Amino acid sequence: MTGPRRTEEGSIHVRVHLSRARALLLALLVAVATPAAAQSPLPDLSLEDLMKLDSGQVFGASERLQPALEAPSSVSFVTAAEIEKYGFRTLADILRSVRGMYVTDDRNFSLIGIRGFAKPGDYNSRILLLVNGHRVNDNVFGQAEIGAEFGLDPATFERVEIIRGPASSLYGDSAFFAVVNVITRTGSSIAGGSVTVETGTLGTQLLRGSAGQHYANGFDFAVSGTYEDSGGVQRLYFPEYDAPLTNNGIAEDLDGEGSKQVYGRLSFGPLTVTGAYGTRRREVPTASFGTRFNAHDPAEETTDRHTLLDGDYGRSFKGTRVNLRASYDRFTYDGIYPFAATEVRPEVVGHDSVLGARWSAEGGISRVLPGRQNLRAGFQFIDNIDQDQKGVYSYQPEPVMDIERSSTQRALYAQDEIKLADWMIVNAGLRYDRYGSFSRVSPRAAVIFLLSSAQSVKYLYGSAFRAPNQYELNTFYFGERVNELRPEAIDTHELVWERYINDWLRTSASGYWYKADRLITSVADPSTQLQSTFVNQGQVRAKGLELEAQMRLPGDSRALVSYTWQNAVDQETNTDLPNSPRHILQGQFSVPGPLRRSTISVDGWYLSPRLTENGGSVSAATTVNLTVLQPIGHAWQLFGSVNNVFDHEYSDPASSAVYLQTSIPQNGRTARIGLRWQLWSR
Amino acid sequence: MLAAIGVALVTPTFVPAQDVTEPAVKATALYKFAIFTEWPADVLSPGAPFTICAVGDNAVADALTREVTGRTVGAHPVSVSRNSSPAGASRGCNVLYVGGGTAANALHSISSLATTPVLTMSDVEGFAGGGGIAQLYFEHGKLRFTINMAALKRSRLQMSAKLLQLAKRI
Repeated sequence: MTGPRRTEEGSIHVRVHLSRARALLLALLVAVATPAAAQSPLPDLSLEDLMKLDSGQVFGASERLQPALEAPSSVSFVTAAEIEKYGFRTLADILRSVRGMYVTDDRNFSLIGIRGFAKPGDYNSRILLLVNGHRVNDNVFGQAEIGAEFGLDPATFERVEIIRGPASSLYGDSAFFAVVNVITRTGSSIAGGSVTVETGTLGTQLLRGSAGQHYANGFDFAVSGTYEDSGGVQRLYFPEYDAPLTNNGIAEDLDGEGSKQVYGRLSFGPLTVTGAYGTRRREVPTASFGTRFNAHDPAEETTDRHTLLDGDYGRSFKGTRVNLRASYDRFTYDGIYPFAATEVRPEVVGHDSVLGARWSAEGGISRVLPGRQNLRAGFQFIDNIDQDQKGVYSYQPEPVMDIERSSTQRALYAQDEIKLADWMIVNAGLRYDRYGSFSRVSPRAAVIFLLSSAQSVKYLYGSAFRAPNQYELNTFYFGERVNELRPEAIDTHELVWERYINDWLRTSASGYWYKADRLITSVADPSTQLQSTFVNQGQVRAKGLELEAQMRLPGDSRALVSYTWQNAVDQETNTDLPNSPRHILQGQFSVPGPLRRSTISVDGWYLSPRLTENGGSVSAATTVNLTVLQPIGHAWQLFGSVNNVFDHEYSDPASSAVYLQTSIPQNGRTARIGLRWQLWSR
Repeated sequence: MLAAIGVALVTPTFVPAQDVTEPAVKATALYKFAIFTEWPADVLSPGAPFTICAVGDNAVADALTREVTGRTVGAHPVSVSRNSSPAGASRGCNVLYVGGGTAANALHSISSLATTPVLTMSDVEGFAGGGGIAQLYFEHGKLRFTINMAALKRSRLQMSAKLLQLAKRI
């Protein structure tokens, strides 16, 4: 086990490791370029095997199931089988494997990067995160939490759909760059009961129990609970704090993380009820927000809790599919911030807490209309009952900040898809969103040419918005000026070419161009509590190209490679955005192992150098992970995983508003092993 | 790397292998259903072609032609028939697939077939519930099907236990 360190010869290490990573990617490449032996044609498969094939359907692009080739978006999937094979432990791990996406980790929260945009210090509020089609971005920060703080264990995911491009025409706020829809497992998918234990480096321990069953009368249930704890890297070195008063820059035993998650889903007939609760506590070793470095008792620490209760009723009445949904979401956040004494006050511990709770009601209809049309229309009503932010300092009992807010939002939307000919689909959607102080209309349009049943070319246009969130509207932190904030806007054009050449090869190429305006940007303002405020001033123009090839080779082998080129420029300064790599390479490769029924899976990614906020840069980052699965008999499965196999050292750019550090070092090689005991199946 | 993806993108189809697009999976399902279903003895004379008809969905008809031409059901060579409109399309069909429209249209085009030994199939929601025999649908991208047991019985077709076991029965 090694933690991140900075050494003088770091750059040399990097070079050696990079060449190894390149060798690996080259191996993947050979696999791509080698024509696979012909597989048996579909009619020779058994019916059971036919039912196992994935014909590439997506739900979240139009709120109904449709072939990905016909969807008005460029779509990727990650399935439960892939989550297991590649040993993905968080949604962040999953998204790192997805074409064009990257994740920045500040050793507290994980920030999604997509289409060249990943502003350090942001709260993932430009990605919409759905669980079974239901919004889970909280209503204070608007953030999509993707690390362990997400509150759902990836072992409970059936499938993750990544729908690129703006989708405010269906979903409203936050569907700015992409929508990530997590579809959770049903009883028929779990089909049995199992217990899993894992242990690993960094003092990692995990215990999980899952059970699920589908009964002949249609009743279906799934339950799962997970406990995970990790001590983290024992000694983390931050050169920015290298002084005798701050422990020579070493944060000792301050990198721990613990989470607990429970999940349940019941369905019977037309009704499905999903419930989930997850909590994560994270020690913060980086002394963010100017807290005292290497503070203990108390240490800087954050705790996030998510509760979800969602009832979905859907059935068909004479060819019209009707669904109604009622949900309750609750998000709480607690942050403990120990500050050093200053000339005007003694040592103090700040305790920030946030409560975001909402009820939502939504409904919609889907209907096939004459003239080969597919109509979807719906409404949404959200009652944000709590959007509260509170701050208490240890030297006085009364809170220094106590903001209690609530608000409502309502929306109407419609989308129609017309198959004008066998080879041409036109798709148009529009949504009207009404907030207390503003309203928005978001359109989307697509023209899809089906060159054959296995090939399509799409032109996509979409517009989306992101409303200022309650954190940005916090007048205590940022002054009265934030009351003038308006929603951000984006316009995107995209050209996509997707091709299922046959089962062994699927390819896609996509080029996009977007203009994001009135971006809510942090600027210095000495008159406010946090010395900064937010204004609508950023304008970003970006373009990019994404190429992907996915292969299924004989003997259950799979490979996927993708390359992304992107260029996102801040129009005011005419400079590239920070934390926006020009090139991204991603690869995954899974083959049967030497022993019976085993699989060996390798995944890796490469990010070219990224600018930091102070105009410097961090060197290229690369990681290769290895996971082995070995079933033993019918009831047991052994699992082993090594992350960052080559112990490559790299750092992610950090926000200058939050950190003294310009970048945060990431973990070196880590490993874990686990054992799953299948107590019963079916 | 880039070049290789580029090559992959423009590589022509030179290996006749599995096509796992939705129409191909549906077309194969029609053929598989035919294999696991028994027709009354008087329906198919020895050596007569076994006819699978696809109506209203050219992509499925294309995939049928591509995937199952030259194959047999029992001793009968498969013949694929396509019609763009359902009117009169059912004549001589052993399997009739009505795709891509509304439930009302699909049910209308099979309304005269209720007690005849024709395996009626569709991908339209509400088809099996409205009196069709088998409805194909997809769950997380994977093929699933519903079978209307009463409609099956009326048609005098016998489905294998294996097929029924994999189906959602209503």
